[in-house]
Formats: sequence, C-alpha cells, structure tokens
Amino acid sequence: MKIFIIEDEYAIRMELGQLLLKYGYECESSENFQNIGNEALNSGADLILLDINLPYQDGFQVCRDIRKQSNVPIIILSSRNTDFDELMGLNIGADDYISKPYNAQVLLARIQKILSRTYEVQSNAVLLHKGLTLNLLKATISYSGQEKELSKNELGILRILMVNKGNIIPRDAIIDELWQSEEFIDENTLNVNIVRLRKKLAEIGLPDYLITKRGMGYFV
Amino acid sequence: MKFADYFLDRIFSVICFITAALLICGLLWLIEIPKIFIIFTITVLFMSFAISFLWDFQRRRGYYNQILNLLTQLDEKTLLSEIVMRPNFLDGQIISDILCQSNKYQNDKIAEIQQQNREYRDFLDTWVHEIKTPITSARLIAENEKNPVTLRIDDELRKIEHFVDLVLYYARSSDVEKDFKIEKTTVKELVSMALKNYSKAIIRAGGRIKMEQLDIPICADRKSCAFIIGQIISNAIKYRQDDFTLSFFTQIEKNGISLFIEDNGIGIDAADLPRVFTKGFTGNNGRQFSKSTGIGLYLCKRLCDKMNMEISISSSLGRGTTLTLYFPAESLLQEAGL
Repeated sequence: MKIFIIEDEYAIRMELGQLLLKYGYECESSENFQNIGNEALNSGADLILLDINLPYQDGFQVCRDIRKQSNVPIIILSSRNTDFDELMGLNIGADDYISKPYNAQVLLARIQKILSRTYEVQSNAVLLHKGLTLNLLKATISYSGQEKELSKNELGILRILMVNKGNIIPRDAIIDELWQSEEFIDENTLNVNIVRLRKKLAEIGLPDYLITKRGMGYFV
Repeated sequence: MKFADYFLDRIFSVICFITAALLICGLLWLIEIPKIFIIFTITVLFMSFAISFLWDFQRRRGYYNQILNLLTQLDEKTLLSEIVMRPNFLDGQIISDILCQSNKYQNDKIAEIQQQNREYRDFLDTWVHEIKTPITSARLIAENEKNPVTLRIDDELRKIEHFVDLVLYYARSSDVEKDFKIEKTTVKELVSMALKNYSKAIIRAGGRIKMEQLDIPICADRKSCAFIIGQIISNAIKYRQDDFTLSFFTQIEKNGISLFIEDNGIGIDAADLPRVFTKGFTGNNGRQFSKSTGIGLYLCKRLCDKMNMEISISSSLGRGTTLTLYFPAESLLQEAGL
C-alpha cells in the first residue's frame, strides 16, 4: 500500500514517512507544490495525507483538484482545527479529518480503517523481527512453520515492541498504548498479558524472545 | 427633572424677585397709590416671572428627560451624544458640546483598544496553530524512535500540548462570536476522550478508573467538553492521595443529565470552596502545590456558561472532591439556539 504525503513542513514529512514505513506502508512525497495534486495522482498512491496550509494553493483546493480526477481516499491532517475547517474539508470530498497534534496510533488506526474499507484486502500488514512474523490483521504470530493466535492486548504489546525493535519500552508506555479509549488497563492486566504472551512464544519455540529489563521495561 | 429640584436650584432668583416685589409694593404704598393699582402691578410682575420661570423649567425638563430616556434605552452608552439633539438653551449647548467631544474621544479610544485586542487575539490564534506544527513533528520523532528517553520527552510534549490547549480555550471562552459545534455523542465518549489525553499521567500515578452508566446519548461540543473533563482529571491527578481512584457516574435529572467526577484526593477546604471557580484563585491547596495557576476551573466555568451547562463542586477535606457537570436535555440546547 502506497501513501502520498502532502506536507510542506520538512520534519513532519520525514517523520511521518518513517512512521508509516515502520508499519509496513510505502511512502512518497514531493516538494513541487505548484503541481502537487498531479504529483500525488501520478504516484499511483492508495491514500493521500493532506495538509491545509501549503505554499501556492491551500489544501482545500488541492483536495478539490484531486477529487475531480480520482476517488483515492484523502485524509486531511491540519493544525487549523476550527469546526469550519473540518466541515469544509469533509464537504469537498476528504474522507477524514485529523487535527494536529495527532496521536500516531489514532492516525495509523484511521489509515488502516479507510484502506481496508476502500480496498478490502490489505497485503502487507506484517512485522518481521528475528525470524518471528507478526500478522497485524489476523492477529497471529508464526515462527518456523508454527502459528499461534493472539488476543487484542497481546497483539498490542508485541506490536509496540517489534516496531521499536531493540529499544527498551517502559511499562507505562505499553499500558498507554493498550489503553485505547474503551478499557482502562492496569499493571496487573499487563502482567497477565506478558505472561500469556511469553507462554505462547515459548510454545512456538521462542522462549527468550521477550526480554525484561529490570526496572526499565521490555524489549525484543 | 422635578419641579422642586428646579425651584431649589433657582432659589436665589426667586428670593431676588420676591424682595424686589416687596420693595416696589412698599414704595407704592408709601406714595399712597390706591390698593387696586398695587395689586395690579404685583400681579403683572408675578405673572411675568412665573411664566418665564415655568417656560424655562418646561424646556429644560423636556430636553433632559429625553436624554435620560435615550440613555436607558441605549446599549452603547458612549454613543449618546451622537443621537441626542442639540438643546436650544445656552448652558445646555455648552454641556452638549463638551459631551460630544469627550464621547468622541472615548469612542475613539474604545475602537483603538478593540482593534488592538482583535489583533492580539488573531496573533494568538495564528501562534497556537504555528506551535502545533513543531509539537507534531517532535511527537512523531519520539514515536519513531521509542526508547525511555524519547518517551520521557514525549510526556513533556504532552504537557506542552495541554498548555497550548489552555491558551486556545482561554481565547475561545472570551470570544463573543465563537460558536460551538453541538453534535450527538455519549457521555462515555467525552470521558474517554479526556482520559486518553491524560492516560500517561494516570498510569504514572497508579490510578484506577471506575466508570458507571456512561452510555447516555447527549448533545454537546465534544472538544470543549473533553477539555473541561480533562481539566478536572488533571486536578484530580495533581491533588491525589495514595491509592488514587477516579470514578465517573451519571444521574438522570429532571431536565438533563448530571455527570459526577469523584476523586479520593486531598479535598478542598470548605472556606476555599465557594471561590474555586474564580480566576486566579488557588486557595490553600494552591499554596502547598506550587503548580496551581487558578485558571483551569475558571475556564471550565466560563466554557460551561457559554454552552448552557452547569458545573458545581463539593468536597470534604482529606477525603476527596466531586465535580458535577450538568448537561441540559437535548431540547433545552436547541431552545438556547446553540
């Protein structure tokens, strides 16, 4: 899946690209803002992330131009967070509107939702590290031919560790990641899930995959 | 203008007239003029004085009553001199000219300050949007390179975000034209939105969250309500005790819904309680915890007033605090034109 980023701020463009790359998306962007709409269309992207404050023309105009030629999903990412901007964005054909500063997990979730709705199948939602394959859509892990299903929380834990492979992730950051709106996760829930995840990893032949760094957190 | 007041004001000329009339009377009597002539002369004198006196009283009263009426009807009192007619008596003309000049000066000053205020607010608005770009990039950088150090920086970035929000909502709360986007939502959604913003801080504090009966559909401005609940949560975290618990529950009222947010923190002194919604008030707790600004609850109150909601507080010292948000029923919101 290819995502085209229309954003004039260099730092955001780069970091957003890296983030999406980590989660298995292909990324492209351009600095030719005079003709950015066509650039985005010609890249053959499956989804476009669009900023509003752009040089030469604003994002609304770009959005209109793209809509004239294509139905590719567009998500507007803007720091202009008045209700008027949001309404305007949605009225001229954007599929979603997220205001800055956004939570990266929310952004990823929305991208995934729109992509799966538009294209039905998603090919590359897979993370690979040290021989272990994590399928984000099917919520399974596989290693040397063996496969195990994961619960939602186990998947969340393993995903944050594998995306940040090699880095120690503190416990509170994992709890925070798991805590997506519905249910409050406490320390005990995390402990239980870590034990279960370890057990499942051991069952497919990776007993020491998830490593505890005492007093700091976990890493893979 | 009352006749008695006017009379007292002119008492000097009245006394002069009476003295003069008595003197003339005496003089005519001394030179033995017949009584009938004396009475006639006095009557003529008195009549002419009374007529001029009443005429003057009448035109003044007419003019000043008109001004007073206008003044009570007028919303912008400083525009009075623009619409009032110029009087036809001298001292009134002088005062009216002075009033004209001073009002004009006042109006110019007001316009100037309003202009400055607008420019300042526009700048603030732009600034808030500008600052969000670097915050976004910094948070993305942290997201891309998660490790204990960047995660700590991310925590600080969240705090910056909250302070920026404070500026945004402060500007919004004093902006008369700012309208709110009322949409259908549930109490649970508002609470969850607010909780997510403070998730890290709650996890750090080892907090426990209890939610009961929150699946209630309401109409509200989601962002502003989440901001208000967030401020309350942030206070609960700030003034917590051991075994920090935060409970959310609702109660159906006659014409709306009350959301209770209850903590088991240090509580608020009864003497401080009536003033917690006052701007800049930090009270006893504020003196013990240096981070109090006295702006959070003030803003909540302002926003609630604007959105036709109510906020109230109860607390017992050392045991905890309960904030109550009252959402009027759907129909009430529509009536208020929100």
